[in-house]
Amino acid sequence: MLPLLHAEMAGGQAVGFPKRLVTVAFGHGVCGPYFWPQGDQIVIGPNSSQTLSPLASWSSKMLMIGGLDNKVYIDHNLHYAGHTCYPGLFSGTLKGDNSIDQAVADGLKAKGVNKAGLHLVLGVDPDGNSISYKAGGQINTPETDPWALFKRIFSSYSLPPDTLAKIKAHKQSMLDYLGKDLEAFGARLGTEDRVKIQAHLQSIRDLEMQLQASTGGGPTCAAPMIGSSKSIDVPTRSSLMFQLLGAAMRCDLTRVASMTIQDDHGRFNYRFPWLNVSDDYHPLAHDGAGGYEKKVKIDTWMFQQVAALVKDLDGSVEGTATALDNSVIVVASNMADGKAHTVGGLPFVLIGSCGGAIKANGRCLKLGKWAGKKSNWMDDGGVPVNHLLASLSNAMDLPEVAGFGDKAYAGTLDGVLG
Amino acid sequence: MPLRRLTIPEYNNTVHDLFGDTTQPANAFPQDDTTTLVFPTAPLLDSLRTSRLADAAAALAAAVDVTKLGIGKPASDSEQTVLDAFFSTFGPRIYRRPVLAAERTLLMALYQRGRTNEGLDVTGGIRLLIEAMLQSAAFLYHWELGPQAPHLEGSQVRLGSYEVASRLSYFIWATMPDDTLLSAAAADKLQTPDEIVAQAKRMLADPKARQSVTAFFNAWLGIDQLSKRTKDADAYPQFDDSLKASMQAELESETVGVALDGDGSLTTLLTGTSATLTQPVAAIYGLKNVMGMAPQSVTLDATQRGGILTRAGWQAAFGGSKGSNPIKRGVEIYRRLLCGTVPPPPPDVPLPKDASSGGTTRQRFAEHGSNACATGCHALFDNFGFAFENYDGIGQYRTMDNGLPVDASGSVMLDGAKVDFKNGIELSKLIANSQQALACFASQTATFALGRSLQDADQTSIQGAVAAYGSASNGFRDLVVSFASSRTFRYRTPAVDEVLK
Repeated sequence: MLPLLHAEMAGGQAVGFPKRLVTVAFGHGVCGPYFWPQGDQIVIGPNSSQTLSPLASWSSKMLMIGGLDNKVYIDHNLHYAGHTCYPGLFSGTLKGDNSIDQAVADGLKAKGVNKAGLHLVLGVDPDGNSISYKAGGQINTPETDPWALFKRIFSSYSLPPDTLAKIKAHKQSMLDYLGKDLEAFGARLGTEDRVKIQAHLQSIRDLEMQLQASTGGGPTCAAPMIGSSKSIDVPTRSSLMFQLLGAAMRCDLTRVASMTIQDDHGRFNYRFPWLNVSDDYHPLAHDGAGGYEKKVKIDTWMFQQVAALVKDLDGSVEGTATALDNSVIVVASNMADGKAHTVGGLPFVLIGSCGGAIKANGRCLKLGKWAGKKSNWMDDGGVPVNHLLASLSNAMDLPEVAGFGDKAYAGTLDGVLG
Repeated sequence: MPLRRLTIPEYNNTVHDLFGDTTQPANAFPQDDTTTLVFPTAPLLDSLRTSRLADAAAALAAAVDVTKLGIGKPASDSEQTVLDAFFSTFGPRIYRRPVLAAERTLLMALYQRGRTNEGLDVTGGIRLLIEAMLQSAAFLYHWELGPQAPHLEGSQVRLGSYEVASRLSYFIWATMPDDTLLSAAAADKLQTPDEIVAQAKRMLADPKARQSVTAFFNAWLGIDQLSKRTKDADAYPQFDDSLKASMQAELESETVGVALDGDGSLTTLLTGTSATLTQPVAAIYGLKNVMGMAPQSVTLDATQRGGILTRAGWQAAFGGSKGSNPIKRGVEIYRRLLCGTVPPPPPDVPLPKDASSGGTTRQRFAEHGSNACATGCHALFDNFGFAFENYDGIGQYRTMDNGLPVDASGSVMLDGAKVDFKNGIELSKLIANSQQALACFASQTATFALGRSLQDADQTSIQGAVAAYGSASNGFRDLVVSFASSRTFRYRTPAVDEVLK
């Protein structure tokens, strides 16, 4: 595949290639002893960080961060709200007021970047949950249908220009009409109801921007073949969704994405038959050490999904670096450990250096109360996740911020940005 | 009356009634919200949900046979005739009220753009109008007033006849009003309780009532949870999709049968022993004579079963994956049937011990309850669950558990007094005869009808419905008719900052 853009090199990093951010999460936490390294370096092996084994080949491009808390939840007496804390995980606010992916997407739009798939909100089996939220706290519903995603991202490329122009004209006049219809309809409504119409109107505007950004004229890079069978199980859907995400990033159709792999809000009867784990996930996660053997299998599967994306991006050369080097994939869970549901001491793994902005070089940063400790994964770390989110925003070259999310937790992380 | 949007089943039913569609396009929408109420509600729209609405509208419009809409022949009649017919006859069916002049102007601008820029013929133009109207606010939201001034009576808004028609039809049918209702609305004949009573009775006798009443009982009693349940394959190898479907069919035929064809009483619902079964669930009851998938009427063993809560399907829906899970069952009975509020579980409570540690399920779960909080929460609901210890994780009757005799006796608080029971059959009777359960039944019906949580101001109408339930002989049906003609159903409080003039 040809590089998309001409690149110049500066200081060992490709210049001219876009930076990309992906947030990924799954529910029920990790098994601390099988996840965190003992020291300050990531060592993935039979007796260390086994959960991360699918990522073993990329450990030198990773950064683990221990000691981060969903602090706004803890300070609202929601220390054990692991199952319902997704709104805070990537927004640093109580109600999901603007998650980092949304903020970065908005920041890129403000810089004039517009693409049909600029911001992808995806999921594999999120059960109505999401890690992505708009400013004001409205949930961004994850797309879980690979064919609908394919259509949105890739199908316009195969259309002749005049056909595409016709479709765009039809959709545009429809969106114009709907905007006017909604404005008239909402004019008399009360405050709370007007919020609903405003959200509807905003979604029309978002679709309009996507439409304007979609261009035809043949593919600039290869779209993945995803087949057409609509009846698929979770592992197949996961594979397709991550393939499409990787292709969208390699083809520079997407700069920012969120992926909610799995979340069941702690409901009963979630299982992993494809891993030969027939137990109910919730009680299994609650079982603590007693359930580790099976839970590690599940956690490892989560990272295997991420590893497919990592491999895809790292195989795509961009100048003297790769698409992975120009991206950062941030993987987390909503709780530290399924036993206690605690939203402090959350697992965070970053892969890729975001165009050299992030020092992802095989370290495990242990922050706050975790500093210098070998194994302290069950407690709070004391450092608000907001600091990481602010650093991520700065890594994406948006106007520099001194904090992210709830203002009570302003600050950035030391030692993360290069 | 907060603004509501069509839920997934409402959308499917409505486009079925409009176009005869059987593709159920809303099944491709992201799921409805089931966390706000026990009944599904449609969440705020975002770009993904809105794009799915656009896809569905485009597919439906493309599939429409425009010659069968009752608007003449678009290919040969004059364009003006066809358009006039569309806006005066079919448009009002989509909007569930007349299309306002300003709306027609806006739609006609779109139509003309389609005719000019996209080269559409009249048929194509009608399709374009349908595609647009299916995405418009008037179709998607339950607000059949449209952008007009409401009718104020004192400090309250009296709903217009079109609003009442839709409220009635989405409550009793889970779909749009039929021609009879729309004609009544056009004649403004849905303003008095008597007029509404007559319509509500007619509607309850219509087969369409089954889809709404099924949805009500499925969501209220949690029957809709059954299909999502999986069980430990070693403990319950027979718990497959065909058994789940058979269990669900039994529960649905029981609830809808009692509510619409039977005496409609809570007593029958919670104590009845007659059942309509297919083979898979019959096997759970040990009824070897029921063969195949044709439903058969049977009478269950009254020493083992009595009422919906004792049926295998309900016990399976809230049973554990390897055992009975009395706490879950107790919580569900307490909140669903008695409208009790369950406090959130405290953090880091050890789960009940596994069966391998010995003791009956009840002994192990009782230990858990006393560990967690002895009086604050588990005391509220645990005994409601222990009463059903005669049923294992998939509702099979048992007298022994883990090698020890089952104890399903206990006492609970009902109507403010402590009452004793020997087992789930007795507890079901006590619940059925309690004022608490009846009031909750009426409240759940009202919540379903209104699509919102209840307020103090609704209580008079709910108490009226409770009284109607007690005074006549049609139980649930009297309750529905009474509530549909109540003040809460016919009036609303103006919203904050709503434009009233």
